[in-house]
Amino acid sequence: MRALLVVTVLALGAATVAGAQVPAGPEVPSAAKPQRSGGELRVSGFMINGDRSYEFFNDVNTQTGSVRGVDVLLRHTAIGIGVRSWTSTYGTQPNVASADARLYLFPPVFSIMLGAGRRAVWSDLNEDAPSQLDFGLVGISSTVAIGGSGLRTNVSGAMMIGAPDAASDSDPSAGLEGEASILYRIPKVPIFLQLGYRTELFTARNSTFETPQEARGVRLGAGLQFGGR
Amino acid sequence: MMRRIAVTVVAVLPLALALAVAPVGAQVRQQGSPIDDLLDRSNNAYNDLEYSRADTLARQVLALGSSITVAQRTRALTLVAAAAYPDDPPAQRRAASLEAIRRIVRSNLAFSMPQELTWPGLTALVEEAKRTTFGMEVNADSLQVAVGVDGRATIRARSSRPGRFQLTIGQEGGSTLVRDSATTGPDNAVEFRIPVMRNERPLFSSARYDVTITGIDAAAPDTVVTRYAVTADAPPLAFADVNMKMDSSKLLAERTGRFGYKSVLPALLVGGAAFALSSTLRAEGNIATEVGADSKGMAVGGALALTTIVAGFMDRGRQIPANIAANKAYGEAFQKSIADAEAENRRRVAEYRTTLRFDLGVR
Repeated sequence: MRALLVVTVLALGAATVAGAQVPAGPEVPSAAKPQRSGGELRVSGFMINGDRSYEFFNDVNTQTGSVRGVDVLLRHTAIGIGVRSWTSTYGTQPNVASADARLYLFPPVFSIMLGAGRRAVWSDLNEDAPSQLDFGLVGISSTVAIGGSGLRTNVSGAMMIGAPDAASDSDPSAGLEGEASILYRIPKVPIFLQLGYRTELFTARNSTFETPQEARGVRLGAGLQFGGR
Repeated sequence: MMRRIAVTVVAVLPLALALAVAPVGAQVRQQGSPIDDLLDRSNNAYNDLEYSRADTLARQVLALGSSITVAQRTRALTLVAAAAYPDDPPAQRRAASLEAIRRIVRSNLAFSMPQELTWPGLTALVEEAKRTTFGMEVNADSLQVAVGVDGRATIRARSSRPGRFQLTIGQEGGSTLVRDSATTGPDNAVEFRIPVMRNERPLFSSARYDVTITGIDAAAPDTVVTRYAVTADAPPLAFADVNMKMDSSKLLAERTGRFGYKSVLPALLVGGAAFALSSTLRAEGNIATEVGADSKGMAVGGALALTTIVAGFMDRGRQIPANIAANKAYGEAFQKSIADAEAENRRRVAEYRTTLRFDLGVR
């Protein structure tokens, strides 16, 4: 009985001392991965200032103007969707508007883009009845985060192929677009800024003529970004 | 005179030998001790009207000094006073009796002569002694337990006239642990409240201490000094270690390494792509030949590449949430350990007990 009492007192004493012991160090976590957000939502407006050239019956016309549009991207680790719509105005050249939707596959560092869109071209002559062209696109995109700086680089390229014209035996309209930019997300606020360069080549074809076009310029953008660090 | 000294020596010698072979302290204070026998013999001599012998025997007891108890000392002085001032004028030595009574009332304010020894003249002498002597009386509970920093032991002192008291407690030959002083109030009394801890540390260790109380007459240059013994039972107070400094070397990295040189490749890619888009990717037909490359492309490409490299080298790394959480938990646990240790130490201080045993019978 006495021994039991002694053991109990010692145990209580040990418990008291244990309560005041200094921890040896932080408990090393089993998985210490850098912070990354699984999903990303980006809504932005953009403007491309530059020039557009098009050739019509061997006559090349170059005008300075701009493209204005909105871009929405929603993506998770290995899949995402994006929607883009823009309208361009270059001097007296016909106006062009385009809207497309894209599916992104694989992680942002290397994604394959698949999408489809519609392009409309009009001038004062056909303002109420623009000519329209549906097209599909396929391309690649690579977004690399520069550590935890908030800066990301983006390089993308895509090929556009217009829907074949059943009434013509000509090749379908086709084009290429390429873009290189950096995106900087301001710390602690969900706002990002974008600076880049964009070039779009498009050759419209029908049974009677072929009009190559080239639009390029500096791209500036800004918008809201949630996630995507 | 020489004969008287010889008689005294012969009478004290057996008693002195008896005290020498036995520990003086407790044994001599027991009932039936040689000292009490001597006092009984003195009392018997007084009853037999042998005043001189009664005085001699009582003074033999007083000659033992600190070996006798307060009660034995008082009884011896009482017999000296009674033997010096009996109700027999030829045998009366008033001054000697008054001196003995004064020695009593200096430390016993409530003293009165035992009924079997007194007579009106002696009673009046006692009153005169009380009236003309500065006396002081000290008492305290013999066993006192003081707990924590606010725990106090209490010693009360009272004087026959207004005065001032000084109290010191220390070990013989050692430094003074407690020093206090106070002036008497309307009832000529003072209560000393003795701390047992200072700066949350025990004041006493387990040992025997001397308590010295000095009473100083406010009206005349007269002091009374009494000394008592107090035995302290004060075990060492052990504190839990409080480690205030966290070992930062044990903290986990909260960020990955900086991106640094790894930014060069994406910088070249994005910059090169911008340049290529402005100069290499051209439309079909005459446009490529008639329209030159866009010079802005090179500037933009350079800006993109440079910005990327700068961002890479300014990068502080990505946060590692799991490590941040682990460090935070470690910091909280460390702070808690400090709080626990401090709480434990506060508890130990608050529950620390000092037991003081006052022996007012020994001086």
